[in-house]
Amino acid sequence: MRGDNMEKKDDIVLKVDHLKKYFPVKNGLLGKNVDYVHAVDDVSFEMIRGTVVGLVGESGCGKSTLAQTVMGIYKPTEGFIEISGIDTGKSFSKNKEMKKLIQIVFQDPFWSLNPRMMVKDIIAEPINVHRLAKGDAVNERVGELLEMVGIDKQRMYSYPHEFSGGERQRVAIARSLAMNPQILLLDEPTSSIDTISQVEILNLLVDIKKRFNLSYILISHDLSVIYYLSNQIVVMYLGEVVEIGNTEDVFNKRYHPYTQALMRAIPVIAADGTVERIDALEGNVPSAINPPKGCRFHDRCEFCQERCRTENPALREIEPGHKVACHFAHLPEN
Amino acid sequence: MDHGNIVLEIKDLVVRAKTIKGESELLRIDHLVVNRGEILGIVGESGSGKSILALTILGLLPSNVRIVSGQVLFNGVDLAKKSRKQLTGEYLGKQMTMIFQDPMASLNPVFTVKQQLEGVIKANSHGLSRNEVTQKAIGMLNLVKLSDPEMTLRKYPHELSGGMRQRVLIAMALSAGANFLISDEATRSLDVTIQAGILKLMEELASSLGLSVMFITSNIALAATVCYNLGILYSGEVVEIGPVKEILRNPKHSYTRAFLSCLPTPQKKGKVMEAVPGRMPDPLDKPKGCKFHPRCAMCQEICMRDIPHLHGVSEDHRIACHVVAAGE
Repeated sequence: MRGDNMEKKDDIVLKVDHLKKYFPVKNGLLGKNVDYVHAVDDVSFEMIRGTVVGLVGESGCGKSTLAQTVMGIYKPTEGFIEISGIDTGKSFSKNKEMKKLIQIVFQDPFWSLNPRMMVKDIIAEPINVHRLAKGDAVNERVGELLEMVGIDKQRMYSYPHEFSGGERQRVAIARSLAMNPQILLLDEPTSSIDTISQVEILNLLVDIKKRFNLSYILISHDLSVIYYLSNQIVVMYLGEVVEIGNTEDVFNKRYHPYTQALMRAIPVIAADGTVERIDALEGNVPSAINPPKGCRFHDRCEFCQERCRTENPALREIEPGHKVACHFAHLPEN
Repeated sequence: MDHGNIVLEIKDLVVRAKTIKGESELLRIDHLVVNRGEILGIVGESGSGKSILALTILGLLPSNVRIVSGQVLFNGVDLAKKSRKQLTGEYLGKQMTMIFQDPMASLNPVFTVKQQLEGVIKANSHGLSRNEVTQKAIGMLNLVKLSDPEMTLRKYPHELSGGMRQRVLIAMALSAGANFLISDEATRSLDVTIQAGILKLMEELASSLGLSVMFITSNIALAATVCYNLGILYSGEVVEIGPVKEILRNPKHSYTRAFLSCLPTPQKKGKVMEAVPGRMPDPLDKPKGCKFHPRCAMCQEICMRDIPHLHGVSEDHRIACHVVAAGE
């Protein structure tokens, strides 16, 4: 059923279908499973080749778990993930071929690069593991990768501490490109970098995306970065997708009260130099072990009504390509 | 400006550090003022000296760093002349205080909130009965808008969320009666929704208690939402200072302009953004004259020779730039 009719449509590089990831909570002497953390609960989305999907939400909303499950670090509890039309299935973690398709760039380049390894060895490691090159060709490839991210290849014999934060992030990006992946998972790629170096990283990401027709899954707290890079946005709350759509629609229309609250909390400088007041969202993300009945956001929602307490709203399409999980999503934003 | 309203005034401050590789200048601040009830934003990249500025005010500088010249006037008293002992005895915690980026690292994980908060209260107000101390602790938690203070008191730091921990720290910071707070990236590790709450709390405390805050951050948009005045720090010097609105609408210094142009705004979507060449100078090898001149497009000969001083471009808006000064 799948596969045949999909290639006709846009080239879908990643398809996440009803993905669930529960973590068991063990208790007692025998370590019985007493409960589950519903980290990712029934998430579906598709990513077209060459585009960027931005994942937003507070900490604990499951965006990292979702990304790591897609990476194959966790095995899905239910649902399936397709990369380039291939079902990753259950053997993902052992399947080296699949791992070449998707690579990750971590948040903090101070921790993600081994301080005792030369940059040359850091970048060569995945090449050696996957036997992509041998002998002199390895160094050649490393040099090529470094030039790609804008670092002089003479510096491959340096150690990470000889690089600035922005340069280290470039090295991390070079490493992730070593296997010619199709998807890069960017987990807060600029949040530990200064504003001025951030520009260079963003420009680099745009550049290599075009050159290699890459697709990105972008996780960031900084909505301006998300807006700048993403084509599509997935807003998550407590393991569920509450709003999904293309970037401009989600930012401008903000149908879900959670999306509204999230955007109101973020300071943005407008073009004319004015700054909007920011507003806090009261309360904390509830426990993912016993998520609230009904709509998971109801106890923090200012529009909460009786129906929200009992019935969990399904994700429904409000306008083409823009889905919202809220009973009253047609309410205008105030 | 009413002189009695000034809480902190820094004049001609120079701070230097001795290292194995030689002596380096960390801070050179002509003039900086924090008024009562004001939140002053200090914005800079890493390495701009914003944390050293906080430590200088509090007298917590490492042993190899010292104030070479200048004054740090706190309510009219020059703190630069006080010994470390006098500072910790009379000022630190009692009149001025600081909150840090990581609230978990600032709280002791093996004591409850009650033990830690009441410890501060007892150390600073003698002769209170046990009941009065607890009542004051509850009052402080109410002040920082923590719901259910009695419950919070019984908890250990790990049982609290990041935002709650930061609120507990603010409560501890204020319970000794301090009216000047330095916040060094205090909301950086928090979620945006929680961060907004902490900022709101700071604003409320500033207006209700007359608390003065030095709000140190690397996020200019964040500073712009809570502060009236903003200082931009580059390589240990204030390059531009003035009302947020003016700086954002009409930035004068090339560094401020570069900084603002680097923010990814909606208008720039899909376009390649302009990058600023070079990077912050090494403290051991700072350029002569204006510290920004190697990266500045408007650089002239005088910029390589003389250190620019702050001058007014309008009533409150001041910048340190030779080229703009010559153009006026």
